[in-house]
Formats: sequence, C-alpha cells, structure tokens
Amino acid sequence: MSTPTFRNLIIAYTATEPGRDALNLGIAMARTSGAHLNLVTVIPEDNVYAAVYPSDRGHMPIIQQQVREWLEQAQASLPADISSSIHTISDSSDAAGLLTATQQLNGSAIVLGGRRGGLLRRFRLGGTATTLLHSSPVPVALAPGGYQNQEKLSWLTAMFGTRPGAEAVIQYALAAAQSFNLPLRLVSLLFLDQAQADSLPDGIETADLIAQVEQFGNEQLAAQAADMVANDQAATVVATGKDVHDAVEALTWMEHELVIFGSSRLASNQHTFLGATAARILRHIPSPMMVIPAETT
Amino acid sequence: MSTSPPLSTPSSTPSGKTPERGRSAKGLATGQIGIIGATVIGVSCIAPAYTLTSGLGPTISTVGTQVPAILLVGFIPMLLVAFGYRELNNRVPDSGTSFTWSVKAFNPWIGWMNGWGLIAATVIVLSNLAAVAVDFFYILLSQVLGNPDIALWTQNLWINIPTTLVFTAIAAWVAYRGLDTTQKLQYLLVTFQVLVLGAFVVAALVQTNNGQAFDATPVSLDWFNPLEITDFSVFAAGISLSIFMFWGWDAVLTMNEETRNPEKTPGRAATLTILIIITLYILVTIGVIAWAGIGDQGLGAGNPENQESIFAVLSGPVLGPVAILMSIAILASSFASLQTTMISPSRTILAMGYYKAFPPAFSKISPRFRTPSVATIASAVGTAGFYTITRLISENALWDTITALGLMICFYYGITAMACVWFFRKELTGSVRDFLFRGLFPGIGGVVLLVMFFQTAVDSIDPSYGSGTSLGGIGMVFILGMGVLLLGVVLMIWTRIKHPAFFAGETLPKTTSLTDDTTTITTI
Repeated sequence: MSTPTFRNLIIAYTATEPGRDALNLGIAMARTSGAHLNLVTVIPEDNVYAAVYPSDRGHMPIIQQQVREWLEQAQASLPADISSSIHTISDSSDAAGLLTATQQLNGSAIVLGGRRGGLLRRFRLGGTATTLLHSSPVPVALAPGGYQNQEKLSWLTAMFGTRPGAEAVIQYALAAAQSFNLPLRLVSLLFLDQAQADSLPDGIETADLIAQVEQFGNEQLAAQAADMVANDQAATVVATGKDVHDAVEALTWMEHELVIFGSSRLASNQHTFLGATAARILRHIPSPMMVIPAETT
Repeated sequence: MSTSPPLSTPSSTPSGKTPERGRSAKGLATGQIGIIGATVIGVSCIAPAYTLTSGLGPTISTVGTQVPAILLVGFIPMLLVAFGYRELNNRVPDSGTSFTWSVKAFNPWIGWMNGWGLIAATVIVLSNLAAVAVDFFYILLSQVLGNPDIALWTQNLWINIPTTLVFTAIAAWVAYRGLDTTQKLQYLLVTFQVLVLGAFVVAALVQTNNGQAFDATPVSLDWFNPLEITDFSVFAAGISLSIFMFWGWDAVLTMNEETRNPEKTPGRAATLTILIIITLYILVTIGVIAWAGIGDQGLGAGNPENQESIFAVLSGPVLGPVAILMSIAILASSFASLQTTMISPSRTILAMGYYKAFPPAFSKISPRFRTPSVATIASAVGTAGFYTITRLISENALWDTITALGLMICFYYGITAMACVWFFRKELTGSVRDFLFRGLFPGIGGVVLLVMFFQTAVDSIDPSYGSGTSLGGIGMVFILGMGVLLLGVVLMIWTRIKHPAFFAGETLPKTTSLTDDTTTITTI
C-alpha cells in the first residue's frame, strides 16, 4: 500500500439522502486532505441481454439532463473551499459504473452514502456498496445514514484483529495520521468468553498492543506506532467482549472520526474485500468507515 | 470499436486512462455482442413461446390452414419498415423514439398520435403478457400439485384479475428499479423456449403419423400459398396478426455499437433470427394443424374455445407429462417479456412529458434509481386498467386484445415508416442505397401497414369479427382499438388546451434530416 491519498475522491452522488451523506463525508475528507471531489452519478443503461423492446434510446438524454441538473445543484451547494467537478457515466450497474469512473478519473477512493433503516439506524448496505466493498481497487468510504458533518476529520481509528492482514491497515492508518496530522487510535478487537475476560488483567498495556502490531504487522510498523504513542499522536485501545457487538459497544466514538478497516484474507491482491467481522462491526458503529484494499504481496 | 471516453464531464476534463472495456460516447458497451448473442436477444424480444400461444389461435381462426403463407407474406412489410427504423436509429440515436421522429418529420399532432399508438400497443401487449403469465402460472401450479381444478382458477375473475394486477405490479417494480438480466439467464430462457417448442412439434408430428392425433390433417403445400387467400379482409387481418407475431424482431436490426462488428453483425443476426423464428412458427403451425385439424369441435384448432391460448389446450394432450415444461417455458417467456416491455411505454411517456406533449409531471425521474417514475406508474396503471376493463366487458379478452394489438402495431409502425421517408426526403437522391432504404422500402412498408390498419379497422366494426364478442352491435376489436385511439384524440385536445407549447412547435420543432441537430435535445 502506497502512501494514503484522499487526493482525488470519487463521490457516488445521487440526489437522495444517501447521496448527500456521501457528499458530506467527501467534504469532511477534502477538508482533511485538500482532496478534489469528483461527483459521479451513474446513468442506468439497459443491459443488452435484458432485450428491452422497442430498443430506442430517446429517454437517455432526458435522464442525462436531469442527472446533470442534480449534479450542478450539488456542486453549487458545496462550500467555497472545496475543489470539485461533476461527471456522469452510463452503465447497467452502479457499481461497475463507479469503478470505471474511478479508473478513468484516477480516483484515490470511492465515497458512498450509507443506507438508513438498518439495525440501530446506522449502516445497512445496499447492493452497490456490497459490490464495491468486495471488489474495489481503491479504498471505499461509507458515510452512515444521516451523516451531517462537513468539518475536517478530527480522528482516525484503525481497527484490526489478531489475524494476518493487519499490516496493511496499520500501515495505512499510521501513514494517513502522519500525512494529515490527525490523532490516531489503534483498536484491537479481542473476542473472549466470560472466563477469559475475568482472567484478563485490568487494562491491557499499550506495550501489549504494540507487540500485537509487531506480530500481525511488522517490526517497522511496531516501532512507528510506539513512536507515535510516545509523542501522544496515537492512542491504543484493546476492545474486548464476547462478540462483535459486545466489543464494539465498549468503545467510545469520537466526533468527526473515520474508522479504517483492512480487507479480509479473501481479498485478491489490491482489491477490497469486506471481512465478515468488519461487516458485523459496521452495523454497530455510528462513524463513517473506510475499507482499504489488501496488500500487494 | 469506439474508444471515446464514457465520462461526460461538464466542468472538467478527466485524466482519462484507456477504458478496460470499449465504450461509446453514450456509454453503451461496445463490441460485446456477436451474431449468436444478437440472435438470442432477437429471439428473446419476439418471445416465441408466448407469441405462439397468444397469436397462433387468432391467426388460424382468420386464415385457416394458410398460416404459413400469411407468415411468409406478413414478414415483408415488417422487413421494409425495419429498414426505416434502422435508418432513423442510426441518424438520431440519442433522441430517437417513434414519437420524436414523427413530430420532427410531420407535425406535433401526428407525432402525438404516433407516440400514443406506441404507448397503446405496448400497454395492450403488457395486459396480454400478464394475462398469459397468470394463465400458465395456474396451469403450472395445477400440474405441479396434480390438481386439474387449479388450472380453472384463472377463469374466476376474482382470482384472475387480482393475480394479473399483482404480476403487473411486480413487473413495474422491477422496471422501476432497473433490470439486470444476465447473459446466461437470457441464453437459458431462449434455448429452453426453442427446445420445448421443438419437442411439441416432434411429438405432434409423430403422433399424427401414428394415428394418435385428435384430427390428423395431411400437410399440404397449399398451406404455403398466399394466393389461396382470396378475400382481402382476411388477408389484411392475417397480415396484422403476423406483424404481431414478428414484433420485436427489428430490435436486432437496429443494434449498433453494442455488436462486435456493427457493419455485419446486426444484419446477419437479424437474418438468423428471422430464419429461426419463421422455421419455428411454421413447424409449430404445421404440428398444430396436422395434429388438431382446424375443426371447430373438441381439440380442433378452429374451435374458438381453443384459440385464445393454443398451448393451454394442446400441450397437455400432445406432450403428456412433459407439458409441464411448456408451462414453464411460456410462463418464463411471458413474464420476462412483461418486465422488459414495461419499460418501453414509460420511456415514451417520459419523452412526451419532457417535450410537454403530456403534462410535465410525466417527465419526473426517480433520483434514487434514475428511471422514469411517474411514467412507470402510469404504464402499470394503464396496463392494469386496460386489462380489468377488457376482462370485464369481453368474454374473449385475450383474443380480442391480440387482434386490437395487431391493429395498433400497424398504426404506429406505419406512421413511423412514413416519418422516415419524410424526414429523409431531402437525402433520398444521393445514392441508390439511400433511395431504397430511406425512401422506397419504408415507404412501401408504411403504406402497406396503414392500408392493413384501415382495412382491419373497418372490418372489425362487424360484431362477428375476431372472437365474435361485441358490444352494442359493434365488434369488440373495433371498440378496443378505436376506443384507445379515440381516447388519445381526446387527451391530445385536452393537452393542446392545457399545455399549448408542444403543439405550437416550441418544444420539438419540425425539421428534416439535413437540418436536424442530433447531438443535443432541446433544453426546456
């Protein structure tokens, strides 16, 4: 994973609440990193195999024009300090259209709006988000439903577990915290049954977590993390609980924070793949989250 | 293959990389479809299993054993008109609909009625597709559960109408959300239909040969001779029914950038499609007539009881336990068509709303799905309304709607073909090719279809026309067909009063092929 950039964000915009949630998160990210926002709306196009008949396309320019109008309104609503451009792309699938746009615009991350109505009224993934979270070559950020914040992000949180693959997320988070000058939380999730939890010493030491970074990341990262902790740039938290819900409930959530997850071991190289644990976690957190692609090996 | 970038970028230029897949400026996937793929799409648009069960009975009723002949002749105007469609589609691909073409070529009034004709034809076929899907849903259910009584539920209006409305609503919801039919599914659907129809033909002919047929009728070359049809009214009715049977075929011919070789693929695929379809239709017709005869008793193909949905009656006796496959094929074929066809009236309604030929509310687009919203609901409501009314006033609703549908297709195809000639009138003399494909062919096709339309319309006033259902001494087909067109005229006049801009030529001005700006739509 190269140095994290939010330089050129692809905002999956539609003139809907999830679209505005994505836009808000995009603004917050742009104010953190100085990113340029590409507002992209996919114009649905017939899959030729759907065999729609009569097959004329007189509706396409009408839809195109309406979508542009919506994009222009969205662009006009952006704060003056945000650099932006608007784009439409035709595809029979929203996810495929966004991936093509990302490739063509050289996007460094895709920002999506979350859906309302899920458990705890936070994240409930739609088909497009699910596809992107399992196939994008660039990080995918998801705003929770009703995300209002447009202010600069104030915290980064990296979540990792006791599994290989933590390296990418730790490295990404450390680099992002440094390049955007943001405080970082390194959160390790431990799932324990009651007996294990009782036998756990009060408070796991920072040193233990650094050791974990070394074990599941690498030595260099551990040194870097230790350094940041020493400089008060990073904090460490071990969240324990008998399951995801329990462990995540134990955490407190910061205002304007972005939670970073790695991809699961199932990810092909340099693509995202939302792991089962991460998928469960994101239902329980109120903050925007971002899944980064797996490390190239 | 076009490599221009798909991203339309009003306010900045993307640092575009070469796209992975070829895409045209409109974003259409380019170069993906070969001859086989395009043929599968063509066969799917025609939906032969559905078309045969709906259309064969009325056609046999009209022309008797001369069905193969009328199919061969009926294809000719279809082909001629399709040439015109292809020319218009290639010239005005991005703002092209039958509605806009005829407004540009003629005037807002003719254009409005043409748009209405297309909407009416698609709404009528939707109601028929939904009804056939519902019939075979209950037939399939009865076959699966081994209870013949269930197949009769469809005759109970309290079951039939609500089920049809539910099917319509499901199709509208799918259309609203955007379709996602995969290549695999489409290949499967088409192959399955063709195989089941083939099995029907083989079974019917083998049984006829073994003396197990209901009314074995020797196949005769006369069946292929159109000159055996001496009555022009019969001929006209047969032609409009065969136009319905081929409806959808022109989709292949108008395919363009999505094919691997736009110069050759569409033409070859269209040829292959029509060969498959005509062969299939003729074989099934021969199978049906040879096995069942055209007598009007029992299982005879001339029995009005059987003509509404020929396979509902014959597939059981002919195929025995395998008839369940026919039910699946027709249910799948009609339900798939129901979904894809639901999209098309909504698009014409959207365009008419956009150009203020309808109240502007009809041009609303769903921000979430980016598909026509009010127009999709209007299509579904229109379909539901048309079906309910037809079912309540006609005992032979399916039959009458198919005949009225043939009429409506002749109407809008005919006008569109004439619009092609008139739109290109200043470019007809450039080359022999232009003269033939933009002038002569669509001109002849258009005139033929309009003649068939008027002849059939006049004939259908007779209360004994078609299924023989009538209301107040007037044939049901006339009431349905002309009623829908008359409703159009009333709505057109109402729109003219309420929203005069379109009729004043302000939103979509008259033009010819030389002056038409095809790159933009009028911003309103």
